[in-house]
Amino acid sequence: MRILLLVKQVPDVSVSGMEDGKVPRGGPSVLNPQCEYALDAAIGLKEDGDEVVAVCMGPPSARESLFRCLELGADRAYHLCDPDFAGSDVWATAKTLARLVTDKESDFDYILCGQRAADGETGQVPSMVAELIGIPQVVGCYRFSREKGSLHVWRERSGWIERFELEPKALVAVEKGCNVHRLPSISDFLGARKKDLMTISRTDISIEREECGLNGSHTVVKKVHVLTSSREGIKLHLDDTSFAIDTVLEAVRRREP
Amino acid sequence: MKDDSCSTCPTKSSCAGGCQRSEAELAEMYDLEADMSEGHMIWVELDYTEGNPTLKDVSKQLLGKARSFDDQRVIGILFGPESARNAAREAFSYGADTIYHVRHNSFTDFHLESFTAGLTAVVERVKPNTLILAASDEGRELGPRTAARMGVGITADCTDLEMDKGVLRMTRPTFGGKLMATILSNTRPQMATVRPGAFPLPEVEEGRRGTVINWPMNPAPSIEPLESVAAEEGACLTDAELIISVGGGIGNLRNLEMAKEIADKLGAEMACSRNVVEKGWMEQDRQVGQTGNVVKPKVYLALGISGAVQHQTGMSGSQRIIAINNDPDAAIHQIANVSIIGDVGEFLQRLLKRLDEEKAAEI
Ligand SMILES: Cc1cc2nc3c(=O)[nH]c(=O)nc-3n(C[C@H](O)[C@H](O)[C@H](O)COP(=O)(O)OP(=O)(O)OC[C@H]3O[C@@H](n4cnc5c(N)ncnc54)[C@H](O)[C@@H]3O)c2cc1C
Ligand SMILES: Nc1ncnc2c1ncn2[C@@H]1O[C@H](COP(=O)(O)O)[C@@H](O)[C@H]1O
Repeated sequence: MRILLLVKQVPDVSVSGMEDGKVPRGGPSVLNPQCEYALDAAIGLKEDGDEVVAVCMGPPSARESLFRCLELGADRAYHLCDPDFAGSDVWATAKTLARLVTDKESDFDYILCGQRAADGETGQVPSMVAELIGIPQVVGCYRFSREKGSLHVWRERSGWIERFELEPKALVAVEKGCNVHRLPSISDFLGARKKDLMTISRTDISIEREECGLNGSHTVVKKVHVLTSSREGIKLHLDDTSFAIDTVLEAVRRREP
Repeated sequence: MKDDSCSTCPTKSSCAGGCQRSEAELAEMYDLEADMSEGHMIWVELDYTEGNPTLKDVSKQLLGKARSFDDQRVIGILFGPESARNAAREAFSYGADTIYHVRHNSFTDFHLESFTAGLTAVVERVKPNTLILAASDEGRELGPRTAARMGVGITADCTDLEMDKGVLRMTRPTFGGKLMATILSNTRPQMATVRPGAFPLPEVEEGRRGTVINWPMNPAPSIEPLESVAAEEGACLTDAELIISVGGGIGNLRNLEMAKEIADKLGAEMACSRNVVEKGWMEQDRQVGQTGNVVKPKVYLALGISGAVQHQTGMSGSQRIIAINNDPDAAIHQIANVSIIGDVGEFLQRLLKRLDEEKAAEI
């Protein structure tokens, strides 16, 4: 079984301050949390003779996220990295990823994605990739198992737990996981550097300059502004005990703003 | 000004029960082939209560919004069996002029494949200027799949839309809700999914009518669940009105127990930050934030939570935020309606004592 794992690297907004509405670039980055879950799922499904191939489109620094996949058990990786890919919106991203899949890895069985990326939180790329490749999708999955050559996935929707049986050639977006942040061992760490990590530039796949990056994008960000809180807060010290407690209880009981 | 009659039909008759004519006849009558690239098309999501399909609130909100844009036509597209027609009638009273009713008996459930095919077909016929979908679980799949099929851009999870001379300005939060981005599309239809609750419910215009155009369709092959079982009543945070949420500042399990006891007494749901999940003190299904639940209770009581951006993403929609944190500079105090600067343990003890006293006074 061959699993393609689409992963994204995202800026770690918990450490890099965001001032004046400027999005930090070149600051510390991490593997998108939901892609960690997808990685976990892929590794969990892997049996002898299987292959997990990680794919990431991003700047040179995104190699780090691919190394993380390789350290934790992925076998090979593609890094789509080219100035021509810069500024891609969801459409251009999905198109480039889909092109890599059809050009280089068309004999995959399943594609695993994160449900959404922490930086944009759009969650559109997986559905678009599935459509462009022409395969079915199940999104929002949290549990996975293999039964005789097919993949079973579970998801919760509108109060129902649904279980799907997926024949090969399907895309699964992973929503939840066990939230473990595993640490690779020294040997995993060293081993990862020996694995095959291929850098792909635009000319390595069949995509024109006008079809990708900023040029190929169908949406443009017109302006960005920092959200300022509109709440008029009152500040109390616990020393004014009874007043603080009264205020809280009243608010809680009234349950109205 | 709209009168009672159908805004589409040249005969000005009202047939809210659905046009009795065939698609071909209609095509001739209404000049359906004409490029109406001015109109706005809304995907009308249905809620099925036993035998009585009604519109979801989010659809009403979107119809109302589209209506407010300008004087263009508002076209709804609705999927469902014959009986879904009730919902079409409702859509007229919330602002739709024409409803395309894509019909099949199996469409009581969401069918990603069929709906994508149906939506694409109707959009290609009508050629609307904009296509707006709800950012529901279903809309979040139907939107991007349809966009990819048509090769157009889409902006997901918008919280505001403005129309300026036919150009749709789509605003959405990004970077964990810290930034707002305004986005334009350079393809048509301009596509957006919009978060439920982003717009108010419009006023009902009783007696407003329109045309229902039937669009029979055979379902496309799609994957069905092997089985579905009702989910256990787990943490139901998303609908909770009162949430007591604990963070790293809760400090110890004794304090956590006190918080739970208070939640019990006040009828609140318990939630937490990721820090608490990582400590193994609470389950992940109780986590609030970017990688957890998004909640919007009437009151969110944050106990010892710093208010990291990733946490705020999940709770900034709360109507009222009360924060207890001993650090006056904690980010949570900046977004709280009521900030209490002090020790969580002490706060809990006093609150519990007060509740016990009240109870004693009752007896
Ligand atoms: C990609 C990514 C995704 C994430 N997703 C989420 C998510 O979904 N949800 C989430 O919550 N976090 C998430 N995080 C983590 C987030 O960045 C914070 O680390 C986390 O929210 C911190 O939790 P906390 O505020 O409870 O703990 P801490 O940061 O430890 O803060 C504890 C707070 O309690 C106060 N305090 C301490 N002692 C007391 C006392 N005795 N009395 C009163 N106050 C006291 C402190 O002043 C402090 O403000 C994510 C991080 C990343 C990188
Ligand atoms: N640049 C990218 N490279 C690889 N995978 C991506 C990229 N962008 C998005 N994805 C995949 O799509 C998922 C959802 O991302 P998004 O649609 O951007 O929220 C991610 O979790 C990844 O699995």
